[in-house]
Amino acid sequence: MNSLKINLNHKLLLTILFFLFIGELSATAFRARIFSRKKSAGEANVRVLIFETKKAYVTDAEGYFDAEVPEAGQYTFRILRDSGIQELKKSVSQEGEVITLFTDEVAKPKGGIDIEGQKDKTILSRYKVRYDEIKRMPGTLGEALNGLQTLPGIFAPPFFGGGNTSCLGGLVIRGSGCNTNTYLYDDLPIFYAFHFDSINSVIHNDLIKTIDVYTGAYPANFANATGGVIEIESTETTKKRQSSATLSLLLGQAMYQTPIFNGKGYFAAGGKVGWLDKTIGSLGLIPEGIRLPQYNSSNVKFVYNFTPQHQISFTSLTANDNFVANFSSKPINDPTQDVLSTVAGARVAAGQAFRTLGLRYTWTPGTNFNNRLTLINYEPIVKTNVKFGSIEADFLAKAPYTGLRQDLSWTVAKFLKVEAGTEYRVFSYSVSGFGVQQRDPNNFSPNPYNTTNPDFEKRDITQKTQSNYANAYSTLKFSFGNLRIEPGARYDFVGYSNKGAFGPRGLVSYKFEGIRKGLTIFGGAGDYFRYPFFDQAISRESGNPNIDFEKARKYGGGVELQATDEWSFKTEVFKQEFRNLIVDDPFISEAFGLNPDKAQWVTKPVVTNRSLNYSNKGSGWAHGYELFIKKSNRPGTKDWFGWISYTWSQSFRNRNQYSPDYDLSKAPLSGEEARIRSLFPNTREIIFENDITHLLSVVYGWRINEDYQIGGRWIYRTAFPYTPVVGDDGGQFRNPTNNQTYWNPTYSNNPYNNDYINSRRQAPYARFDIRFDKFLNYEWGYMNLYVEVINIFMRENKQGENFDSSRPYSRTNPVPQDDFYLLRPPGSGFKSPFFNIGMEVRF
Amino acid sequence: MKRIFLYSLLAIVLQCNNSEKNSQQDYQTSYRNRILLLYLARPTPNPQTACINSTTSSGACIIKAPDRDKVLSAVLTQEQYTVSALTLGRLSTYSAYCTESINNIKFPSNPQARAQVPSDSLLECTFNCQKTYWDTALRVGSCEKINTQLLFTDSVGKGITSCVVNCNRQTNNSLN
Repeated sequence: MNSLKINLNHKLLLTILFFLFIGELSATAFRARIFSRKKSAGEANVRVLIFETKKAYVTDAEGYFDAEVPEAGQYTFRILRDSGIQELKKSVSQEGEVITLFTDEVAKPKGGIDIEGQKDKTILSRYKVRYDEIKRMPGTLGEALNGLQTLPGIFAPPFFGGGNTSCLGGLVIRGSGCNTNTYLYDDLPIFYAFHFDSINSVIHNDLIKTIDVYTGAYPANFANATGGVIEIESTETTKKRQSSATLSLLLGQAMYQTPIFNGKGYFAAGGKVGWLDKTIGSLGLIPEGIRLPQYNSSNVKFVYNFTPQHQISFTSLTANDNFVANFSSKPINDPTQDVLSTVAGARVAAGQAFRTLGLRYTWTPGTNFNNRLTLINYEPIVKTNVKFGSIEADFLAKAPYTGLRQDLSWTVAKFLKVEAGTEYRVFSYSVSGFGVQQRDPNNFSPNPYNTTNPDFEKRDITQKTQSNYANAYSTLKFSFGNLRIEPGARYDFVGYSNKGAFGPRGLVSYKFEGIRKGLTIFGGAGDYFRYPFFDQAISRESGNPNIDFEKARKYGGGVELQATDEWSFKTEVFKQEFRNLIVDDPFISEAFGLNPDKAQWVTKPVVTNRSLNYSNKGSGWAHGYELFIKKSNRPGTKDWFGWISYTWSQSFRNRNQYSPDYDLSKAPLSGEEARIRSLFPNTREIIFENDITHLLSVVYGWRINEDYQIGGRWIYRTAFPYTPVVGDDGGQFRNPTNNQTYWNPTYSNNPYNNDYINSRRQAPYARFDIRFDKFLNYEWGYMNLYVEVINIFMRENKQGENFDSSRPYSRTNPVPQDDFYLLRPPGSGFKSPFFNIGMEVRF
Repeated sequence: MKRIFLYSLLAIVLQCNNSEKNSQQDYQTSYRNRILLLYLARPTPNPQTACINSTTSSGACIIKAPDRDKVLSAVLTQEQYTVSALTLGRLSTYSAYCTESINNIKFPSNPQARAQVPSDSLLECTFNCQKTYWDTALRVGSCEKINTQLLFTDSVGKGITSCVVNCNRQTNNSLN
């Protein structure tokens, strides 16, 4: 292992040495504008002092001045006038930023070109992450968006390892399903925020300005999420040309941004390529049963301001992920399910990708009104390649849409601001490629491993379903002094199934000024819903065309105390009730229809009780409380920062179906009798597969001096539940060509014993990561070298269990699945923490 | 004017409420109603009658089998011949045979099998499947060509598999 490490470091060291030469310190330069809303113009020739650096500047004819601060953070700007001193506080988040300091109080319009982007945002269940805080957080393997996992209520299920592997880089927010969140980049949809490795995001770090995470009751302008909303805001402007390149063991990324057309426009482009499988993967250190992803992504943004009132922008985002994985079989022992999923040893090579194009026109006629029109073309893609035995299914599923969206914000009066919007989309769900089907439908014990005379064959499953969708929302923001009341409503309509959903929501908050730096109490609730646009459930051929929206009712409330300028405490209690959840339903049918098996259209074209496969029977709930203690950096000083986030939660689900598992009589029934029983659901609540009782994150960062920074992160969480394997099928399948026997795991079908679904947990998961950064500053920019050691205590965390299909069930099969973050060369007992080395060059 | 406006507003609101409620439940409610009505409207399953019908059809077929006992088949009635062949001479009527068969299925001596006793509805369906098998064999002329033993083996084996599975299936059932 040591020799391996030296080998890797060797090459990197050479590269670093190549670049080493001494340069001078480079601070964070930015541009600021002193702007008066009343006059709708910049204030010329005023003196401005930045208190922390004690440097003074004079504004030009348009109110601009260029300044420098030692590092990103919050600063106090004092505007020195004859009539007195005006003090304003503003944060500088990154190099080359343009910030605006408003000298009078008028409500901010949304999206105007001079606005930095500090929107009037809700305090309930929202966490704003500043880019500079999470940019160099340890344990994130160089990926800023990964820092979200340390916020309360957010759990990122491990991609690598056993247990539930269907999340694929998603997030579980307050006990909601991992595919029920909405990810937005500048209000444009993105399919997923993280690449397959749950480590790297699809957006280049340096093009992110802020990330807002709404974990509970969110405002009406966001759609289609019963979980949470993650809104990424991108940088909108820059003072001078900038570029950067980052290289690490896991990926490479590059960024370039520049003002164009004499400052009237802005262009930015960024890209990432992941090569985890070629670096660490090829060293043979990754535990058995895990495969590695390959991915790439790009983002391009172009902004042009015709005049201060009219702005257009164009954004393009793409991402592409592929991987090969070894999945254990689906942990539901239900013979009415698809026969494919009960056969273990399935190998899935899958990929997902998306492309988003957005063309936006913003009109800001004055300070009270702002309207935005956006034309969006979005295409999410999922590629699946399932291989079991000798049979392969290879298909592509897409759900593209083209839509036009309008958002306006209007300050009606001093105490009222109205936000409203509409959207219309034309969308479709399509599948193209080959699925697997049994050759002879009357063969009731097909052998998927028979390669000489296969019982399965490829069947074309191409299909397309089209529809349209429209929505409208409106939020009224009342503010009476320190009291804020924000009722809102949203209505969504899907033309295809003629289904609509109306969701009212409201937020109330009150701030007590006298208590320390401000004590705010807040509360809110609302009805939220989600339509499964990208799900087989809506397919006309293989799904249920009448499927309805999934719904959630959320409640939350809490207290936030800003104790000092640096310390803040926030605690929140939440409850979520889910209903109309989409479940696989083996009973739901319509009176008659075309035979789903197209091969039988000659002999049996029409069937009765034509299956619909999915229904909205599921329900569930989640509740818990959160605690968040944060210490921010005191600007201008080499101080430490960090936070502690703790979440206690419980989450349950119920399929609300008839299950023969709960039926004490196991006698065979006719179809008629089974259908009658299906009208009387008997399933009970089962703990949610991503239920995490305790989730604790402690983050600490300290910029020692200009050259060095150190950070640490400790995570502790309860393990997620999994379904234990209780036996095997006796090796009933065997491949006749090579006489290889396959043993498939079996699971308990008795809900009254303690082996049933989601009844086990491994030991709690704990991990301590540190990161060490060195900065080398030059005239042209700076270089940042970092070393990250993950799982420094080398704790052998386990994630679910792994069953080897080539052996029967025994004391050693299944074994707990090792966590990804511990390197073990095969054959030796040696283990080492996971490590990452990287370099970022900014110029 | 104001009244017209208010009434139309009321109508719109009511319509919206109504349509939302209806659409929310449509596929699940219509499924529930359909299954309940079909279940209530079906006649009580009568495996005895179904068994008699199926055995009658079997009799019409095996009387033509190439390996039939030519003497006995000429002397005995179709019913007597069939039931004697099935019970090795113990019984001679369809109803007696069916009563005994159904009792053996419903009250098995093997205690393990007691948990797997099929319901009347499934029994009736299985017997109907057998009847279909025998009727088809008659129609296509297999009775004259295939030996008795094989005819009977198929009648409880692969000859009726897809039909029995159709009895069991909750969805995608054949038309007849």
